[in-house]
Amino acid sequence: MDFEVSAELVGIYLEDAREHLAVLDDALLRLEQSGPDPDVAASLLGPLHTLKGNSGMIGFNGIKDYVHRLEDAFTRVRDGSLTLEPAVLQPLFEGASALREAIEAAAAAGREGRDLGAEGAVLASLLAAGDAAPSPAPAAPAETTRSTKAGDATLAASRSSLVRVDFAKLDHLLNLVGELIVHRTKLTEMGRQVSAVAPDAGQELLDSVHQVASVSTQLQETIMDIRMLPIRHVFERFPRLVRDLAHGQDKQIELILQGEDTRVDKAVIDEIGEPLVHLIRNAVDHGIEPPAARAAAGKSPIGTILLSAAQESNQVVITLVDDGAGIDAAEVRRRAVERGLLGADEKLSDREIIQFIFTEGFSTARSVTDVSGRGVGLDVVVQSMERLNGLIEAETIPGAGTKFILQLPLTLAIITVLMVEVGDNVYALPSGAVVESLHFRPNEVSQMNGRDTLRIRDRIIPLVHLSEFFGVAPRRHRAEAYAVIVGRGEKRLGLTVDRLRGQQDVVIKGLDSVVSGTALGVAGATILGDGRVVLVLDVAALFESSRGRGKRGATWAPAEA
Amino acid sequence: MLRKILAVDDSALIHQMYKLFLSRYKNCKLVSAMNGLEALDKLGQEQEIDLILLDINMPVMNGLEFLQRVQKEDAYKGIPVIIISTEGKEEDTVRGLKMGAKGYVKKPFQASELHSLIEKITGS
Repeated sequence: MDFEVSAELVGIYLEDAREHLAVLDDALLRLEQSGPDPDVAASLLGPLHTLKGNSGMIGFNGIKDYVHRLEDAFTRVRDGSLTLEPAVLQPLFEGASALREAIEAAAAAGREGRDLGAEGAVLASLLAAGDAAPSPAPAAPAETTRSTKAGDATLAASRSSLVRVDFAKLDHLLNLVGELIVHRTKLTEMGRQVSAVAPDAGQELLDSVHQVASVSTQLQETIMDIRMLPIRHVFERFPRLVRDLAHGQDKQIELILQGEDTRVDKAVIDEIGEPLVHLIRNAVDHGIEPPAARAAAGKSPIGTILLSAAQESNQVVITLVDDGAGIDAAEVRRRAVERGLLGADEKLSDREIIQFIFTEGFSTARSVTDVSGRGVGLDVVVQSMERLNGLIEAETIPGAGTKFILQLPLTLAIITVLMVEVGDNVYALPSGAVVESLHFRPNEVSQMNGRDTLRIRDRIIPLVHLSEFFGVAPRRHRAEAYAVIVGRGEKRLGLTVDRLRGQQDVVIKGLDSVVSGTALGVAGATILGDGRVVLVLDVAALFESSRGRGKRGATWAPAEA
Repeated sequence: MLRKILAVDDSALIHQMYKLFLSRYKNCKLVSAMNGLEALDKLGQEQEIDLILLDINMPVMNGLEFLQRVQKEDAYKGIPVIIISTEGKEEDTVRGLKMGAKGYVKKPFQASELHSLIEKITGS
């Protein structure tokens, strides 16, 4: 090859290949469900052809050869000379998985590693067997291509205006808008000050600022919109995953997807796939019972998993529901006590008990299967959710099924914060982590294991007094105050503050700059319109310190306190 | 001297490669289109295209259909077309050449193959 295969080229190749692989998976599933359809087979030929050409250009010749065979196979399917009985479909499914592995591995290493020779030989023998069988007259391929043309005309109109942009450039653009928003807020403040001394000039300035504000808001919304992708990009590989997992365990499972068009920030898209795979694996492996057990329980032998996404204000809520056996709260309690996470006589509601499944290394699985239960627990899911500033909760009804609810911010760049006052200071709490805020009286606070707690409905929530945490003097007696209940994964913590100031959109800057540091419980800073710097609290760090205190005593108070 | 090359291919990867391969033609602008229809638009918008690199297998409008339309237009039919073909589609390449394409290269191709063909066809 007389050119360097750069990482950029491989990246483009991989991105492109993934799209074609998704089309392949989807077509295979459709062919399996609704029988041989020449149109479905024909629709695959274009993507496979492009994938073949690209693989060849980048020098992945083993992959190119295999895709060439696949192309042959689907040409035969289209023409009706290869019938898709299970004995043919299964190797095609396996081949598609092998191809995905080979492509991912080759892209990661920059050269081919995973050999597709065995899979290629299987395909070749399938094709040879097809040759031996009498072949019906081939369908006119020209007909099928022509029939799709009318629908493509509209596609053409939209396609021709598309541009590929590097995500990093959008990030930079968003940062610039962030600066703009800070100055916009500042200008509004100045406008008000000018109005006070020179009403006419002040009004003119304010009108102008208002215009700028409106444009910058639109600019921000547009950029945010560009960064958003439908969650379909994550969901589209799950039908195949569920099919393969269920197949391996002789279970019958139908996966229903809802709200695939819900759009979320690309950064969220990139991160959410893994935890969802984990939860789906759990549902298939531990949730849905084998057909016989389901029938015995009076349920349909076919299990159902419902995965849905919906936007709720500036959050996306993903729910995963299975109609399986549910989680046995008594078993979870037993394990929690065994592991010393819970006192033997501690009273907790079933709902609260269930949340222990999210703790590190926790598993109630009795058998280790091929699928999950290899010592990787739901704590992995919790960690991902924490990285995304998200919340997760589980609900279960024994015998009827389990529901996981994941709440995520739509974007990670601009966040809505709740401003709170502690003494003379103002702090910001990411709204995504805020579960609720409430006013409480001193007599509602009770002591448990040597720390202040607050009972809210059926949960007992430990309190952290922010005035103590930051070493500032509280305005009033601290117990006559507000508590902001924050969540991290499934955990809850009450932060006591003097006053709530309301919500505001801010751009967090320098998340890992010198200013921040988990030891301080500060995630970053933002600038208010009046120029005041407000610290954005790191909820995760507050949880860490609160846990440390429970174990080691009051070691988390600021040094000067 | 080459001033503008129109590259038509549905693969973003191939467009990136053209960018690399054709960087030796200084001051030559590379115009990209993802399918035949888009390529017709680009022909209308851009003036004085010197060369078209054409993939055959594309959605919306394939290369052969695009070539047919180009050959019907007096304004465009003089522009030399190089077909970029893929293994297993030799008959399409032959059809393209019969329809007036000036030459072809087969994917995967090396930069040098493309250069020598371009030089042969355009005399640059």
